[in-house]
Amino acid sequence: MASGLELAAKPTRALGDVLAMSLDALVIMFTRRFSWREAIQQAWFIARVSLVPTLLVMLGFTLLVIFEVNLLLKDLGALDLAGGIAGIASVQQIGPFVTVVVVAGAGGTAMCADLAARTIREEIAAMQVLGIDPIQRLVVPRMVAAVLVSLVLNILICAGGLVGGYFFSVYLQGVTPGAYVASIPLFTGIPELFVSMFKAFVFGLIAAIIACYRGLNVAGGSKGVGDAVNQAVVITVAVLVPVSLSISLVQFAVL
Amino acid sequence: MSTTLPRLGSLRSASERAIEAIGAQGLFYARVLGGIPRAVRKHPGEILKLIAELGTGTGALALIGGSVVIVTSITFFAGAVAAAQGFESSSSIGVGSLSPLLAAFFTARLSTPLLAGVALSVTLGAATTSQLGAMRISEEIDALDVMAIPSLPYLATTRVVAGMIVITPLYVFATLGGFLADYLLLVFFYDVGQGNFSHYFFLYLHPLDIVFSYIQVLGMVVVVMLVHTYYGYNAKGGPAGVGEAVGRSVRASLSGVMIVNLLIGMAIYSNFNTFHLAG
Repeated sequence: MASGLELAAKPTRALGDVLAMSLDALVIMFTRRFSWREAIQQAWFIARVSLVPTLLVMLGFTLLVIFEVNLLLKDLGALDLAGGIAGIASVQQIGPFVTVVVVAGAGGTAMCADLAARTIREEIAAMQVLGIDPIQRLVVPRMVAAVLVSLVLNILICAGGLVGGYFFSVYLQGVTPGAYVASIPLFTGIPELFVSMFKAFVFGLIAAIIACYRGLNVAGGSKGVGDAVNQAVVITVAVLVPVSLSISLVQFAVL
Repeated sequence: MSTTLPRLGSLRSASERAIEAIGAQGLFYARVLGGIPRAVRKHPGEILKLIAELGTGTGALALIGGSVVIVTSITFFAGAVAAAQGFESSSSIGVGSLSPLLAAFFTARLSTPLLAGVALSVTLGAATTSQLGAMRISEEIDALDVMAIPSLPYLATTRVVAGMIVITPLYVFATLGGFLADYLLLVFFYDVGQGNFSHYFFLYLHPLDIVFSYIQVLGMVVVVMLVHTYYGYNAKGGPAGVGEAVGRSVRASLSGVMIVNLLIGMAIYSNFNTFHLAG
């Protein structure tokens, strides 16, 4: 009985720890000095590791969706709607999702590995002994950096998806260029773009929080570090798909 | 850093190193795939053990049900997103009652295989890298070689084979999860009507689509396991190096998986388009 209770308490306790850390970070962000240098370095670091995967994942994801949808539209005789579907696909759903997969899979894993390495080398403990708060110095700048990069990547993916879809639809599947461009605003406007940016904001934040939490709370040797990075990315992806669904449902109900 | 040839690395250009990395990876993959007969013949017990391990996951991930539960929940929510977006977009042009058709099309062909690819790379793949990397750092792989057990077929090839086997039950659950989400969301949340749902959903759910998407996922799991065993088997630089190897392997396999998926999808569906509205 006691062990069963312990088993149930473990994930709950971890969730509580994550929330406590986020709350700390939120308070510290506005009350204490913000380390700009670390934030800019981290933003550059995340952008550098995630740029190439972003482009490749975006190409694979968006182009496959547009290709298959065009097959469907061709059968319906509504090929002039190709642009509208490309807009829905790349701006509303795929853009934020690919952003988070890449920010979690590329940026988050690198961030988590870096923090985990520092934790087991006891650098974090040394910082605390010197009176430096690791949350202020390491976590807050990383959160800001991850959010900034995911906003930028989201714009890149939305634009890239539309442009890639244009070449794909027009040159390979025989859609009229004018019809493609004209049908984009049919389903996707400024409000949808803002929802997409909001999604990217939330996703980047969650990815950074989970990566930092797992990185700072690593135990064991080399197996522990590998497991921490693995769990960080699994948890992030598993949490973000339901979050994406919830934001979409709210968006449909409101807009 | 290599101790046998100090300073030589800095003299070579980045492009030479990139070519060398491609060669090293290609050679590794050829050796892993070439070891399949040996692994199946000599280590069937190891393969069985790995199938159980990959299906249920290790450590904290096993607590919540392992890879099967994680992959299924990811494809479940992805199916729900596809159904919701399909319903909203189709009702905005006045054909909301056709949304089960869109759900069948998008879930079977797109959301389930794409999201399963991402989920496989982060669950099965990253766990494999972390496990092999830890073995390399604690010199267990060198110990195997010293005992005259060829470590590459014993560790890497068995994992690739186990991944290819474990994907079948895993993908059955993943596909069912996606379809269940379509049903729950459209019938109970959007009220399209049960009869309407089952009529349009099964009218346009071609059995071959599911077979094709299984082929896509099979291709993806081979890529995932190859990439992740490479990065784990060649991890270096202490405990920190294992974490770095996991990160690098996730980046590489995500990119690889998506490109493989695009190529297989285009090759299949441009030749065998099973969707015909008029029957």
